[in-house]
Amino acid sequence: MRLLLVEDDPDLSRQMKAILEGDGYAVDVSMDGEDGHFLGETESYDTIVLDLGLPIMDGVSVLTKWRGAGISTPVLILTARDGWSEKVAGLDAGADDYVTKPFKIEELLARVRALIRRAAGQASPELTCGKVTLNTNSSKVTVDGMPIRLTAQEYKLLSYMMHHPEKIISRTELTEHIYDQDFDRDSNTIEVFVTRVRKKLGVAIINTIRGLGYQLVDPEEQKTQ
Amino acid sequence: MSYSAVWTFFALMFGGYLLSLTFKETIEDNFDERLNGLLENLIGISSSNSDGQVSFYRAMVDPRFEQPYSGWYWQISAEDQEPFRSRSLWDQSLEPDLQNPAFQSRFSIISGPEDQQLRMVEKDVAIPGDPTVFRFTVAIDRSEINDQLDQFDNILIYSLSALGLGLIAASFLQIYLGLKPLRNIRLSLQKIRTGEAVHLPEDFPTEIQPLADELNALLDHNNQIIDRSRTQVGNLAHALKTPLAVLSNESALNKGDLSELVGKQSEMMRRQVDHYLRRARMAASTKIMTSRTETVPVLQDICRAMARIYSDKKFSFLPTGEPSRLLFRGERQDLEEMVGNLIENAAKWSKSKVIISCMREGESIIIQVADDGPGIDKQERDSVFMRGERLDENTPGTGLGLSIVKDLTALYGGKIYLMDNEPHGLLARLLLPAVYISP
Repeated sequence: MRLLLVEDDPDLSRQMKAILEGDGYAVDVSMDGEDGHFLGETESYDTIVLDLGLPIMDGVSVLTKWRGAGISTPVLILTARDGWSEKVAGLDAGADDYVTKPFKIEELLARVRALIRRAAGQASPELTCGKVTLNTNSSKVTVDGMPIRLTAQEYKLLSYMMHHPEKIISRTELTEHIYDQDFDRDSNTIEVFVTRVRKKLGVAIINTIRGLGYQLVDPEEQKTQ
Repeated sequence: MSYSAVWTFFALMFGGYLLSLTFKETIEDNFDERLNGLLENLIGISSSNSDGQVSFYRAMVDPRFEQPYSGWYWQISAEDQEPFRSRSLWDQSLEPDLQNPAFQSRFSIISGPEDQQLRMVEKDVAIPGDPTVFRFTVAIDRSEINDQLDQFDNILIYSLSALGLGLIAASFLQIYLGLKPLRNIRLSLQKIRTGEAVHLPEDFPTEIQPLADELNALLDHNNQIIDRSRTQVGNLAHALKTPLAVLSNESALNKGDLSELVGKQSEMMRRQVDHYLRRARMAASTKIMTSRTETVPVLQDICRAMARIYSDKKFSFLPTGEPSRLLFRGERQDLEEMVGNLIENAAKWSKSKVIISCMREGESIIIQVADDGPGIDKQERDSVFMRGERLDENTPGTGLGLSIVKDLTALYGGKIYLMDNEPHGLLARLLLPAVYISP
């Protein structure tokens, strides 16, 4: 999952990037409203964490512009002010949830996860596809109850696909959502990862649609169709 | 008021007295002039023959000189001679003092026939062709002018009394009417204090309007001061929260004694900051006289915000009555805090529905937030208000929410009740003071 963090305090943004990467996200960081707005508009993210007190362009304006341009990425706002008016203003501008500073790390991560799940239409922290279960809270993957060990990148790939079941996802899209901006991407590595994941899972839930990309399907359902 | 009445009384008395005197003098002068004129007339028509007898060319015009004891008399006297007198004198004499020469008209008051008080004028004249010096005398009864004077004095007394009463009444009226705007200002200020109004109205008379404007400016100034201090308080919160977040995050990301220490201390700092900031805000709240907040927009805003976050739950907001009557007598921020915490709580714990209602009962606004979640056991209802206490450690949140609600409610003299919702869940009932609205 790829995430945009827009936060102007250098220490806090460094910390939050570390925290979020630790939870398995590819994180792009922006230090001001204008830059953040640009990134949010031009790149595709699974969630955006947006601080409201930003220089150059404040958070609410950035958010209003995004929503005005039709960008529907879930946004979690960070508020510092002690009042509800800032929260309400942010939510009215199009945010999906908020976290007040200072926050407990667990709370931040839980809310980000919830946003991603909600955006994917998944209500529960547990995503399933056939015999494969992925728990977004614990980042554990099981097949038929048996835990499977995946590398960070493999997990990211599987997680993204399980959040968008049945959707045909191109390699480019996968690349965009698994790596952060700075990573030197090569779409061939996706193929490698897909192969590895398939092997580790042992169940055929990832289909290759030639020329278009990959698709996550429940093999049982496919059989009955 | 009484000073002006006494002053008016004395001024009128004095003025009346002066007027009376002046009039009397004028009348008497006129009278004397008339007398003198008659005297000259008498002198003019007289001539004497060789015997020393005085006779007239013409008669004295006024018929009153002919009527006995009419009060109009003339007499021409000479030494060792029988005085020549008017018919009106009859058998009386004016008895001039011939020893005392009167080269010019001499006025005096004597008593005449029938106890009349006469004004007399006399003059010594030598008629051409006669060496005798004749004393010409004319006297008229003063009662003529006395009546006039009395009449004038009466009119004067009546009219001055009326004037006096009128002036006093006018001054009372003026004071009453003049002070009326001040009384209006007092009433308007009372309304401001009870929160019914925010400003003094603009329709005072021109003499008083500057005062009202100054008072309005003072009220605005006061509110600005409080706003500014509240902004500073908010700025402090903002300024401290990021560094505190950084510290607590860093301590969470690292292991070791220093990290733990940093973590504990920054958590302590955060609690203290929150605690004292809240108290500072509360202190500012009680100073504001004119706070009034419309509850409906606030509830709508927060409802909408919560519906966005908890998009899987259903929120309904049911206000009862005119929104313009649902006025909370307090600061918007405080209402937002109380209501926000309650609704967010309900949203977190509810299974699928949150129902919010708002109504006015007499001098109170009643806000109810009901959820269909697990509710709270009776025994534990008190403890949720304790600072920092949370019943469920698994649900993220600081747990301070309800204790903040309780503090703020107490600050405004309101009440909060937690009850069972049917068929299950929690019903939070919040009573807050309403702005007095005259029926």
